[in-house]
Amino acid sequence: MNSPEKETTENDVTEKPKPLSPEAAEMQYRDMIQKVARAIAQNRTDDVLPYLGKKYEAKHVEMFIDGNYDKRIDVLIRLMPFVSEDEDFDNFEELAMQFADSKQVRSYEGSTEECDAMLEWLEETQNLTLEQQDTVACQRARYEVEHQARANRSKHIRFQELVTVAVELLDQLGENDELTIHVNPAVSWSYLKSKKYLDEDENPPVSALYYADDDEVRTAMFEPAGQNLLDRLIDLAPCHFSQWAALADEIDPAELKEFAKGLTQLHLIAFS
Amino acid sequence: MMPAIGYAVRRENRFILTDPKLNAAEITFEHADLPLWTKNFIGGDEIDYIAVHALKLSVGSPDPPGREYLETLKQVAIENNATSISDHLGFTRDGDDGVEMGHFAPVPLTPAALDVTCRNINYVQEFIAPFPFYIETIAYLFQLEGTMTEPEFLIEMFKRTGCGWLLDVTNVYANARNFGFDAKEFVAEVMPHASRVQMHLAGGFWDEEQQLYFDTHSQPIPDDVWELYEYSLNLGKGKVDAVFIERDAEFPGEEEWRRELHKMHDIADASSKGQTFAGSAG
Repeated sequence: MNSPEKETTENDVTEKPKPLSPEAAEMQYRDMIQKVARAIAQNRTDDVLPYLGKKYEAKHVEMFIDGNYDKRIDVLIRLMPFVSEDEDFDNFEELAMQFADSKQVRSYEGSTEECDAMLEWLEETQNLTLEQQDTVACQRARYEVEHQARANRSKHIRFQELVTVAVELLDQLGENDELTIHVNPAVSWSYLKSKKYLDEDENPPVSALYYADDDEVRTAMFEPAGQNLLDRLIDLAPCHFSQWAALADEIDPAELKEFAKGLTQLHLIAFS
Repeated sequence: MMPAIGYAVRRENRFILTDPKLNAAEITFEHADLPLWTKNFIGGDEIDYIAVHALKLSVGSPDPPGREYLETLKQVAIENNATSISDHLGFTRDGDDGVEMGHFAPVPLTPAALDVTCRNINYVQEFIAPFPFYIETIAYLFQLEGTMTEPEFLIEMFKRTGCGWLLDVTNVYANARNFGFDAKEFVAEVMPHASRVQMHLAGGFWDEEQQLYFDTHSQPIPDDVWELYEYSLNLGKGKVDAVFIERDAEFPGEEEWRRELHKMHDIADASSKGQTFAGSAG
């Protein structure tokens, strides 16, 4: 048959080289894959040509590289909606191309890591306004929530189950010593520096908490005192209300219970 | 034996999972790895055969696939009650501390590449057991210099690993059309050596300027691909476990989604009964 690909080298018409040992052949293979992969990742077609099969041309490699590049830009635009659709980043596509030109994707980096790397690059290389910095911080916190949910998958699923009965158990808080408080395991804090995402009556800086709620990432704003109470609960949980109250002795247990009620309604804490 | 019939699941075609002629679904691992989801990716649908299709095992890379990636892949397969796992015959990165290229390039057809690829496939199979593993032959725009034919490489690979063949019929059609070989001869040469088979069908377009067929998963499946599909089913009778249509762009209306699914089903049904599909010309 007219088989696909049986390439020969120019050396075939001269003296046949001695066969390599398996170890040497693998080293040679590793070297070639490294050179080809890095050349493709850096848009260097010419460096692939020495390894190219004879019936293929530079244009074939260029098409492959261009296709990969376009997909990379498309992923950045699609998976960073908080930034790419923000009016403060109306040149996002141009920035994504600058980023792609300057940074390769490291092995095993998925789309989230790639997007995270672009956020870092934006902060390092662009003179961002406070509003732009807030947008970057929000996007990063959202990735962090996803990361937490992935890393603590069983806890995330369990917590979301507990959320469904949390309001029913809320009345037992402070009354039933056996009741255990659980904190949402997929949370991330950021610090908002501008008024961009704040209500009229709020002033920066404000701490924002991002957290998983079912399949979504939601946001809650906290005063310093509230953040302090929640941070202590995060360190302590799972725990009983009395343990939390003992640490948060600056406020009355009734006020703490009211604060817990708010956290329950936000789906930040649940009970078992 | 009638293969399981289905689609590669996308947001745009989830409605079709309840079609009476569909009993299989393929989930792309990178799409199903949704950390916030608490439900299965295929939630609540009664599907007999679920295949998890990965993109980054990179079995042609000198280093074996990373444990973290494999663990998450297996977890997604378990959570979705999967029947099998698959990935592509190619490399997407150079090594553990290297770079990702974004898309898989074909492995060079050499004994050294064969050794590395088989070692990696065996490592994957051991890790993901009891899920059977299928390797997809890819469409390529170029190949690196080699010393074997692609069928020689595949036959030896199946012999050494026992993995299944994910025969992307459109990829074979595209490669044959682009680089001048006979697609049917290719399938006929390889098929006897694969212990079990899945298939992909898709449609792309012919670029007059480049004189190349691009497998873009964006167009109706061409008649030549339907014919090659029927031919491949007949050759692989008894060991074709599942067949899937892939569509990733320029999504059609519901009628067209169903038309291609039903045609895929009816051709497989005719083949399993030793008949020729009446509508194979169109």
